[in-house]
This record gives sequence, structure tokens and C-alpha cells, in this order.
Amino acid sequence: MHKKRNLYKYRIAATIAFIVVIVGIGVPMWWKTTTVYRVSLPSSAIQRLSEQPIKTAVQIAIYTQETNRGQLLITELETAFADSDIWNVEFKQLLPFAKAAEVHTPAALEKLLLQAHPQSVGDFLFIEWAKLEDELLLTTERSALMRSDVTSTKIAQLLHSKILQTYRINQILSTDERLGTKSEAPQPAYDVVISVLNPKPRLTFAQWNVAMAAQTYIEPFLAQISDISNYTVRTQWKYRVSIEADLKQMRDSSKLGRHYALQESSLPHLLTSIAQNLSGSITDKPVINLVVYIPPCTTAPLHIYNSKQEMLTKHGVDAFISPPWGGFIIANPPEHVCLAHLNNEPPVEYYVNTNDNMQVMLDQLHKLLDISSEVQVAGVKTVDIEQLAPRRWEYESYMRRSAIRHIATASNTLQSLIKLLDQISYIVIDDKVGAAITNSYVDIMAAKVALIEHRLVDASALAKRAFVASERGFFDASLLAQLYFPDEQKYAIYIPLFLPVMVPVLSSFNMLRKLLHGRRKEKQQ
Amino acid sequence: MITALAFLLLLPLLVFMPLAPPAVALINPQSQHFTDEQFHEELVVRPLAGDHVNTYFQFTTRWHYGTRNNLYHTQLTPRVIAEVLQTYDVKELHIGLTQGLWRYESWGYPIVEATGGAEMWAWFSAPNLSNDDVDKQWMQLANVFSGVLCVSLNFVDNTNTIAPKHIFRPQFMHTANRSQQFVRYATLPREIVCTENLTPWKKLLPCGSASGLATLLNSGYVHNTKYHSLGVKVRTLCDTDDPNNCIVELTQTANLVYDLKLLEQSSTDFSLRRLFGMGLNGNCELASSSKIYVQRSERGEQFQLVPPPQHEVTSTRGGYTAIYAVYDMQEQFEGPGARLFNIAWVGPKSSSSSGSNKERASLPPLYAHRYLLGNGQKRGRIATEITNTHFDALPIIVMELVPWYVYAYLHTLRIRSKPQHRHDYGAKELKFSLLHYAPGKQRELSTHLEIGFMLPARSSALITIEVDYLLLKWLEYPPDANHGHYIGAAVISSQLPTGRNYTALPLEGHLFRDSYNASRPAYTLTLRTEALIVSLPTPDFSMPYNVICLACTVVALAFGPIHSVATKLIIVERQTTMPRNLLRKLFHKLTNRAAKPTPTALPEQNQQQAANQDEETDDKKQSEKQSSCNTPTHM
Repeated sequence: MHKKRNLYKYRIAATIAFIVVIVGIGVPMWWKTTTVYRVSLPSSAIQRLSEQPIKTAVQIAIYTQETNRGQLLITELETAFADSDIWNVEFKQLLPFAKAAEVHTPAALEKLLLQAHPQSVGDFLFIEWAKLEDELLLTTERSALMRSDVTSTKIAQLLHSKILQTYRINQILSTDERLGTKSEAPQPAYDVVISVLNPKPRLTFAQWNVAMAAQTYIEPFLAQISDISNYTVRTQWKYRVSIEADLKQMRDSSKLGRHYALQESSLPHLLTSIAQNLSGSITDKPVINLVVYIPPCTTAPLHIYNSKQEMLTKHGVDAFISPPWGGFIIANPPEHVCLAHLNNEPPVEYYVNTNDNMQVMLDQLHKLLDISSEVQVAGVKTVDIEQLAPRRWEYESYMRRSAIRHIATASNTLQSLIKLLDQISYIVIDDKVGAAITNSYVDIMAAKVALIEHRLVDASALAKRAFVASERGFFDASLLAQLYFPDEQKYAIYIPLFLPVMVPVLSSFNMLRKLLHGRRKEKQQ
Repeated sequence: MITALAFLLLLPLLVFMPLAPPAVALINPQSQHFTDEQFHEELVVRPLAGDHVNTYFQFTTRWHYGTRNNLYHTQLTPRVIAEVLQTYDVKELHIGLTQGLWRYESWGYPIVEATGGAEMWAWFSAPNLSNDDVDKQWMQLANVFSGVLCVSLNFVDNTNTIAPKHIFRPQFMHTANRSQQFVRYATLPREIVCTENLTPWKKLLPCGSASGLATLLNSGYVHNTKYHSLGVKVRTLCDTDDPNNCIVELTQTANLVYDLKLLEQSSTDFSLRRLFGMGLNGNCELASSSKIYVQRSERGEQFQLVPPPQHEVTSTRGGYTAIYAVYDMQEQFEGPGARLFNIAWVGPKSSSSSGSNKERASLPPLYAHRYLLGNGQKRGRIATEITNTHFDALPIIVMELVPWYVYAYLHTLRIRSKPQHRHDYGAKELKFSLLHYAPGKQRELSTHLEIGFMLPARSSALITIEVDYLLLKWLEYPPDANHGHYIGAAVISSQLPTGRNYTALPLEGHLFRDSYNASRPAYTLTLRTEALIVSLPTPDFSMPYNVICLACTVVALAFGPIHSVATKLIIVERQTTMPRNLLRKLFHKLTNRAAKPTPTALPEQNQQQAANQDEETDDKKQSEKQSSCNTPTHM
């Protein structure tokens, strides 16, 4: 009997040992060794990123000749901006001072004011100036002049539409895809490629020092705005690249007696036929294409027509843009060149007009980079730019917009990545990618803080870094290392081992349970 | 001996030193605005022995760009080349994409050399350039051109790249001193060259395939040839004193050999239209010169040309005279109106037998073959046979690139020689005067071997080295593993004292006409042998999966009994009320169990009650286990 008890004990011990080895050690070890490598990420914190709104602090100073009026304006404006989710506007009144009366020009007054109250990047200043034609006049710096009778609603309207560009920020931040077109976030580096297309070099002897033109017009402009993106300007000539579009001959009263019509509807096809011939680049930087097309005299002058058969040429310019691909300019040869061609004379050598084409190209670049503000507000006039650089307030609102866009895009990218990781368990996150994601998260937080703390330059730099890191993390090739070995296959391979081994082990659980049950009953009896 | 050899190899460099000023002489008034950039297109047609025709296209763009900053603005030179020069410290680059084998014995020497598949080599030079930088840049460069030309050059990495020491001489000029020059060489013999390479290659031309000689290169006809080779060569020539005075020279070549018998013709006549499917529709208007050269000497003698050529040029080079008929396409297409230009070669009637007799007479001075000896999949011997038909000894350098999956043993390296008239190699061994050996490393480095020796007059040398084939890991086999693995061609270099069969351009020249009367003390010749194919032991690729399944099954089968033996006790009980009939037995078993559950008894006893014989000890659980153990075998 004693011996039997002993045997019985051993068997129980053996059963337990089996359970411990297989279930307690074997399964966790298998799980650990076959699991996909993943660095721990601040997942929950990233998920909560969109809960904290992106709020930007702006300081707006108002100078009035009378203190009361200034106070009134500020109280009204403060109530107008009180319930804004995006803006944290701090209005500051600049008190009238003695010297102000002696000043005769607004510029001098502005200078005096700025000496007393220096502005930081992103700030704005309203100066009251009684003798003004329009209600408000935007300068090229960070200031605007206002007439004495301007209402606070008008100022608020100007702030929303031009200085702060609230509607565009709302577009960026909205999660609804249907709200407006969303343009892409600015990339850290671009190649700006100016291509001059001369499809019939035998007939068209067009000459142009395009390198010089780019160096004089495009490069200085891009140098002014290179805080957010770096631009490399390249030029190239391309020959024998013909456009594939139906051109219709139209009679007119010019010396040539005709011109050619390019339908508006065929412009997309034209871009497609050209894009494949512009030759690729060896880097992975996105390219902004600026194409100057010189039509041969057999199809010149060429003008763009809309579907109502109206010529769309304005000021002698035939050009269009297609963001983000780039812009297209038709540079028709001068009349005498094509006249010579019509009269079967040998081709005439001529120079492409640098100034005209480069002005158009600069304007296209402004629009493609989305810096200038096109909104018109009644009663508000803007001083024309005289130099290549954009207006300072325009550029700063572009910086602010880019920072917000970078933060929003980076947060979105990180959140989608976390969502993907939750759904697809075989995505590998190695140390490098993990670091990129964590850094991006840290930078997003820092950029948000910088925005609310009124440090626009820092915020812009941090947001850009966060954006770059998030893109790098999301598109890293190592994420897909296990793509072709999903979990299903893992289970399929190991099931022949686990099924037969687990059945007896699990059933011995049942045995143990019964045994315990029996023992308890024995004790009760 | 070594010094003499070194001197011979240095010669081209010395000859090359004076930098030719950029030719500003303009032939074409149309191209006046490219004062510092010129484009030339040339076609050389050479009838070869055995009813073959060699057509060689050469498109040269030469850009005197001056400083590096000008590389941002391109005209005729493709933007990719400018970007490559800006991004990498590459000074000279050669890429060859070839299908077929050049037959030296019957065809003589080609104008540009290439080996089957893809071949690439490049020279890098810059101050403070380290070997690691060069490795990195080399791989990036290969990746760039894999995209530009749609070739699998992205497979070029450190495992199949070597740094040749003696065989390649730089063709570029740079201010940096010689110790800062690095060369890298790689071949991909498996690469298949096809239309997808020709189309991007043509896109690099300023006129593309829209006009000029490139219109003749239609993929349908190009890929019907016996041998076709596309080449891209870039080199920079900088003033040794002034680094802001540089020329970049891009040469694109297409070398084709047609077999006239395959053109479905009874006679030996042929024409441009026959060869390319169409006549020429014009010259490239951007070209400074556009010329067709037709060889009139040797095989070309017997043909009559229609239309007759405008000029004939006689060139004496290294004691041998060649006559070329020259057609200038710019003159042909001068007037207005569209037309097609065609050249026809009219051969003599019924004289083909006399032509074949001549073939034997003119073997080139040097040719080589390579083959594999030994049997089985374990070890073999690589044999390279070089024959010198010249009346004087020739200096030879042989470079072997043996991939890492083949072990080469240096101590088995032997060079045996025999006179040309003998058939078998005796025991006579040649001494090598130069040896460079970099042993390979499994999965990391290729074996790199360079040997230099003097090959006596009218004799052959057989270089043999014994190799072991490695058993690869299952993931290292390429798709279609039974096809075999390639060993790239050996490269053989020599200095010929005569110009017989020699048509390559001189080092300082960039146009075909530069080879007229270009007599030199010696002519650098580079040959490529055949590539070899070895069949490494190929496993059954479903094996790992089978092994996993089988091992799991065995473990599972063993586990069941062990588990029950360890945890279960067999108790034998007599049961008298058991019916004999099988059906009733089962029925009894079931009812019995349902009727009186015995909680106090051991779990096994429940089932044991049914057993009436000693052998029937298997309980229900165990049979259950058995059945589940059997499942994996079906998987």
C-alpha cells in the first residue's frame, strides 16, 4: 500500500513536471524567440497627441494717437479672439509719446515705435495714421497702417484672412478630407529644375543663357526663403521633346495671319507627355519642374484656350501651374522669326526674353511654394513688393503655417504608424526606427510648446525635424522585413509540434483537477 | 623583367599627358551656340569574316564645363552625368552591357572591349578620399546607373567587387597625385541585355531616338544580332595646373555583329536598310559631325558601295593600312525636304569560296580562351589559354575575379607553355614576373588574382588554377538555381607592337577619325575571355520545411508514449460481464460509464473497467493521443 502511494506520488510529480516544462517554460520561450522585434514606443502618448490642440501665440501691438481708442480696440479684439482654439493672441497697446507728433511720415513713426518696442519673429504692429486713403495698408514689413476710423471687426478680419490665415490653418488641422484641397507639407529639400524645351532645333535657333537667368532671378529668391526647405537650382536644355496635344489653327489679324490654340482640357496630357522626357535625378529629393517651352514656328504662336473658345492669354503670357509638379511657360518666338520661316527663309537666330519669362517663373514659384497670400479684403491695400524677397509678414505666416502643418502631418504619421502596429503584428520596429519615432514625438511636443511660448523660429525648426524623423520612421524599409513571414505561417509551421504535445499535457490538467476534487471529498468524509 | 613590364604599362599615361585644348572649330553653323559643348555621332561598318558585319555606333558628347558649379546647368550632356560628377568623386566610368561573345580569331579586335553580361569599372580620385569612402560611393554609383540604364547593377557590392592593381590604367586626368586614385571593378555575367536597356540608353543622347544615327537602333533588329554591346564611358579631363578647367567626355557606344546568313539572304549583299530595318532619315541637328565610315580594306575590298562614297581615307597605323570610305551625313541632308539615306554593299558574284580561304591566314596576334576542367560538383580547375601568333614575345597581364563561392588555391597556379604547332602542353612552365593575389573570403570577398608574364613568340600559355566549389546556404541560391553559377571573364591585357587587327581609339582621342595614322610605340590591347558557368551542388529547396515538419512529428510521436508512461499507471481488472460482440461491447462501455461515474477512483480506472484482456490497456485518452499524433504526418 505504501509503495503504491509512493508510485502515485511520483506520477503526480511527473505530471506536474511535464506541465511546468511544457507550459511554464517551453511555450513562453517559443513565444519569446519567435516574436517580432519591437522597440517599446510611447504608443499611448502618441495616440493622445491629437487631443492637445496646436495653439499658437502671437503678439499684436496697436499704436493709436489716443489712449482711449486703443484700449477700446484692444478690448473688442480680445473678445473677438477669446474663443479661438488656434490662436492665443496677446494685444499690446503702445502708448502715445511726445516725439510722435513731430514725425511726418509713417515710416519714421514705425521706426521710432520699433526702437521703443522691438518686435520678435511673428509679431505684428498696427499704426494709426490719419491721412490714409484706404482703411488699412499692409507694408512689406511686420506692420500695417490704419485710418483713425477703422473698426475692430475690420482689423479682426484682416488678421484672420491675411496675417494669421485662420481659414488655411483650419484646413490643415481639419480631419475632414472633404474640406478643401490639402497641399503637402514642405519637404526639407527640393530640386528646382528649369527645363528649356526646344523640340525642333533645326528650325528654331533660340538662344538663352538660362543658367545666368536662374542665377539672377531664381537663386536669390530661393535663398531668402530657405529656412524651411533647401533648394538646389538646376537648368537643362531638352531637344526633340514634342508635346502631344491637338493644336488648332486660328485665323487672326497679325502679320502671320494665324495662331494656334491649345485647349485647356488637354493641358494634363501635355504634362504627362513632357514629364517622361525631363530625365530623372539621382537623388530622392522632390523636384519642382519649371518648363519653358519654345514652340517651333510650325505651331507658333501658341496660346491656351478654354472650353468656351476664349483665349486665356493675359499680358502676353501663356503659362500654367500644376502643384506640386511645377509650372509651364509657353515662350512664343518673336513675330519676325516666324515670319522668316513662313517666307521660307533660313532660320533666324534670336534670344529668348529673360526678364519676361523669369518674372512669370518667379510668380509661378511663389504660387507653387504657396507663400503669397491671394485673399482680397475690401478696404485693405497691400504695398507692392520691390525686391525679390516676399513680404515679411507673408513669409512669417508661411513659416507659422509650415510649422503647424509639419506638426499636424508628423502627428498624423505617427498615429497611423501606431495604428498599423496594433493591427499588423509582424511589423518590425528596430532600434533606429524606434529612435526616429521617439525623437519625432519629443520634437512635436517641443514644437508645440515653442509655438505657445511665442518662439516661432524654434518651433519651425523643431517641427521640421519632427516631420523628417516621422517620415523616416514611417517609410523605413526595415519595417517590412517580416512581411513575407506573417504570423499565420508561424503557427502553421509549429502546429504539428504543439497540437500533439499539448493535448496530453492539457488533459493531465483535467486529471489533476479530478484528483484534487477527490482528495477534498475524502477529507470531508 | 618587372621593370620592362612596368614601363610598358606606364606608356599610355605618358603619351596622354598633354591636354588637348577644347576644339572650338565649328563645322556646323547650327550648333554655334554650343561653343563649349560638342556632340558627334559616328557609325563604322566593317564587313567581317564568315559573312558577318560589324556595325559600331559612337556618340560622343564633350563638354568643356570649367568649374564644378557649371555642372548645375546642362545642355547636351545629360543631367544625370552632371549630377553624378557633382555627387561622387568619380573621374572615369565604364559600363558595358553585352549579349554574345566576340570571336577574336575570326573577327579581329573590336573597337571597344566588353564582356558578356554587365561590366562596370570606375576610377575615383579626390583629396582625402579613403578606401571606405570609395566603397560607399562605388555602391551608390552602381545603384544610380542601375536606375538610369535599367540594369541589375544594384547587385554590385563588396562581395563581387575588386580593386585591380595593374591591369587598368586611368584614362582621365586630374590634379591629385597618383596615390589618391582608386579603381573598382565588377561584373555581373548573368545579366541579360535587352530592350529595356536600349531605350534608357538612347534617352541619354541629346537627340534621343528622334533623329540621327540613333534612329537606326531599333530593338527588333539590334537584338537579332549575334553580338551586341552597349557601352557608356565617362571621363573627365582637368588641367593639371588649373582645377577650374575641366572637360567631361561622355561616349556612348553600340557595337553590333550581324550574321548575314540570318538576314534571309541568298547573296552576300547587304544594306543599311537590311541591317536596321530602315534607312537613315537625317542627321542629329545638334551634332557637330555626323559621319558613316565604311571599311574598304580586308573584307570590305570585295564589296561595291552604292551610292559611291564622298571621300576615301587611307590610314596607316602600326605598319598596317586600312582604307575607309566616309559619308558625311550633314552634306547628305543639307537641302530641304525629307528623304531616306541608304548604303548598299554589293558583293562579288560566286566568289564566296575564295573568301573563306583567306580567313585562316590572318589570326590576330593574341587571343584567348577559357574553360573549366574536372568533373563533379566538388572541385574543378579553371584553365585560361592564351595564344601569341606574333613573331616576338609579348608582355601579358591576366586578371581573374573568382567569386567567393569558388575557392581558388594559389599553390596550384601553373603557367605551362607550348609552341604553337604542338598540340599538348608539356611540363615546361613559364615563370611569372608579377603576381598579385588577394584571397577571397566566404560570403565577403572575391578572390582577386593578377599575373604578369612574358609569352614567347608563336606559343600558347595555359594558366590553370584548382578550385573547390562551396556548398551554399539555401537562401543564397538565385532563382533558377539549377542554371548554375557564373565565374566572370578573365581580363587579359598586353602591349602589341603592331597595329594588325587593332582598331581601338587612341587614348587621347575621342572620335573615330582620331585613330587615323595614330601610330604609337605600342598599342594597349585588352581582351575578355568567355565567362564560365559552374554547377554548384543544388539542394532540394523544400527540404527545410520538410525537416521542420518531420522533426515536429517525430517529437510529437515520441512525446505521447513517454508522457503516458511517466504519468499513468496500468491497472488490470477482470471484467466478467463484458459481452463478446464488438458492437455490444461499445454499447456496454458507453452505458456503463454514464450509469456509474466513480469520482473516487483514479481517472484511468473509468476506462480500465471495460478492458477484459491484458493487451487492451490503451485507454481512451491514449488512443486520442495517438490519433492526434498521427495528424502531423499528413501536413
